Amino acid sequence: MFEIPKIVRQRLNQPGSASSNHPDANLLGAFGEGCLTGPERTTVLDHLSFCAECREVVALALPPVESLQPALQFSSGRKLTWPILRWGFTSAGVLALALFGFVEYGHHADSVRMAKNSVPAAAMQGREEPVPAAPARDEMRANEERSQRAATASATVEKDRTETSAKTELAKSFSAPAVRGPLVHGPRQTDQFQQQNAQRLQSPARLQIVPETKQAGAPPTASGISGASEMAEVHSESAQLDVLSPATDSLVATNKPQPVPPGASDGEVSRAKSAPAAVAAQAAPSALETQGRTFQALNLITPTWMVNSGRLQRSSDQGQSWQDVNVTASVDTGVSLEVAIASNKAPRTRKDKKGISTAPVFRAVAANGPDVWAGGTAAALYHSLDAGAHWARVIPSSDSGTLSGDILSMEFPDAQNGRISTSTGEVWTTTDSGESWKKQ
Amino acid sequence: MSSHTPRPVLQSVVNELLPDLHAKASCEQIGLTAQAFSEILLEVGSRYSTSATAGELRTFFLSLRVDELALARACAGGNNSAWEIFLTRFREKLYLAALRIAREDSAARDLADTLYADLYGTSTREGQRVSKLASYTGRGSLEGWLRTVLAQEYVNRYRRTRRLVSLEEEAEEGLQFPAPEAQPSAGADLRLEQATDEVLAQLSPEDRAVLGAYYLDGRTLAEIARMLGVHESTISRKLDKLAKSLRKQILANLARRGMSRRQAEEAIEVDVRDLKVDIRRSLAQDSASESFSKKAVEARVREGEG
Repeated sequence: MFEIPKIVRQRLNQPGSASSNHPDANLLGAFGEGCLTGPERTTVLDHLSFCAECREVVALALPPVESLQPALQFSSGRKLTWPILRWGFTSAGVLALALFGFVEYGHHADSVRMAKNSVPAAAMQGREEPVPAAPARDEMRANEERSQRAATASATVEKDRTETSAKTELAKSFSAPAVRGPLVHGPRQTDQFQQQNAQRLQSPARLQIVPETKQAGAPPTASGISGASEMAEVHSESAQLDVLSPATDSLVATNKPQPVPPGASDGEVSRAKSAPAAVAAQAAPSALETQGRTFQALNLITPTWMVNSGRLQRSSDQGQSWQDVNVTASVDTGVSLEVAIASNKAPRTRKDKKGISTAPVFRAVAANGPDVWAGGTAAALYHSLDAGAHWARVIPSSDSGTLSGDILSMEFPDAQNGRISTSTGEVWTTTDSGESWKKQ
Repeated sequence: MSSHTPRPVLQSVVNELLPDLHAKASCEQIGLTAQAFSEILLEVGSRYSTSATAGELRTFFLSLRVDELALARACAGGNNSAWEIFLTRFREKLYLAALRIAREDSAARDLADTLYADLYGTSTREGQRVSKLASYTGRGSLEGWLRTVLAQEYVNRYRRTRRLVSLEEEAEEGLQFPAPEAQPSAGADLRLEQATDEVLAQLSPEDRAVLGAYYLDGRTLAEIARMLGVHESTISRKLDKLAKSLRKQILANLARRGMSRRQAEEAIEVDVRDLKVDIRRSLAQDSASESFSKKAVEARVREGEG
């Protein structure tokens, strides 16, 4: 396989170059387990390079293969990171390409498909739609296609029928048991309702009434499911109206953004449609949008941390942009953390839902790579081992009591040793990554 | 070790860490007082280094397997409950490790029993039992240390027989390739040897160890990778690179010694052709295998006679 000149083999085998002082079993054993570092490891390696006997001892004393994994992990934190990083980069690249292609394709398809009048709304949908909401997008696309079909067919009656069938489907998808409210309709009710509606739609004059009444119901109940179904109706309806009569264009254009912020409606639609989607939709759209990117970045870059007016913030781009980190989200539920962009886009609704107000006010943060400590008022101390993806509340305690007061500052010069001082004048230290604490 | 007083730095670090380490090692259960444990730590610390700074010593002590260290030393001190813990935890593992090393049941039992005797301390010095466990310092796991001690014992015990075998092999090689050294090109050989030695001396210890393990000991890539705690592909790449660069460097070195390019290549090639670079490859060659089998038959005949 790897051919070397015989002379090399011969000279390698020269005795005498090996020192007679074999490393003892402690060193050889620790070497085999990868516990030696720095000059000690080099010394042993140097001996091994000359001493066939010790090489044999190390080889014979290797741990059995099944128990090797922890030993390896212990030994080479640094060595193992590069292959991981390499794969991380590759997969991130592939993902980014796929995402780009998907978005571009969606954008293109949308702009082609949508009638020129409703382009703004469609474009906004295309852009704002996060990946998880793909089903919602398909649904919308289906609706739009239907409305286009309706446009090409010239007979009004036929239009109405297509419309009715589209509406029935929509209504079916919204007929989950949870759907309640003034405009709630099961499949059967809907038929009735839509037939009425269809009659109304026949005249352009009446058309204007329809979206107006809808609009009145929609915006205030943005969080309600009934509101969501209404909004969806507004969507499909207005798309169809666009096609039906140019006279309604202006109305649609002005109505749309007002009652239905496109992002919010997307989220709500997908939530109304299926239970699993509801989880994804609960997070605000902006959060959803950033999550994918942020998590990729997290895996690759060690983030920087700061505390800004009581909020814990993280930056994955060396401080160019900062994101709030909600420590309690992952503590309470155990699900992955939520990140909201700390900008105007941070929606009010989300705050109310998630109860950010219950998050502690942070005063100090300390990080060593992925090992992050954050402390704040009322003895709030949180620890994350994975760069902030998951948090655990830590309550330092010793024989003489538990930590009290506000945490004012903390230092963690390395992952094991830490020192925390509080407003009550207590100083707490740990030497084992927070497993045990000492009060001074 | 314990005869001279420990360095003040060491003493202060041990004093600082003693309560924590003593608790972490759960010394109470196995009857090890803080005082006794502090002496153990001082001994281990002074064995580690005579010039380490306080910070280095602190890191060193915190990285020790203090619980296993305490257990081993308590066993060495003759504490019965410690022995019980030790036996329940390690008896089975020790035998399995011996079996893996000796690859044969009776030899494995023999090996493990010998080690038990050493661990318990059958030999006495100044009226005191001397247990091998007293030399464990907690650098790696106790299990790893036990495996290493077993391996050392095995290598020591079977070295003699292996020596005989390898001498025989050497004799066979001599038969097969009659005295290549005796050929007239001694000057060229000397230069080649010197050049090779120089090139080898420039290698890093790790590279040399990999070369030795692969070409001399016949270890597999996987075994070498596990010895060094890296991935198999790393070793494969390293060997590939080394095989290529060694040849180039030796040629360059020979050129510096005044050999022409052609001469230098010849010197290496001659060696390569005559001395069989790669045993696997040579075994695959018809002519070689023929002479080899002939030689093997001869060897067997001789064995039968002897």
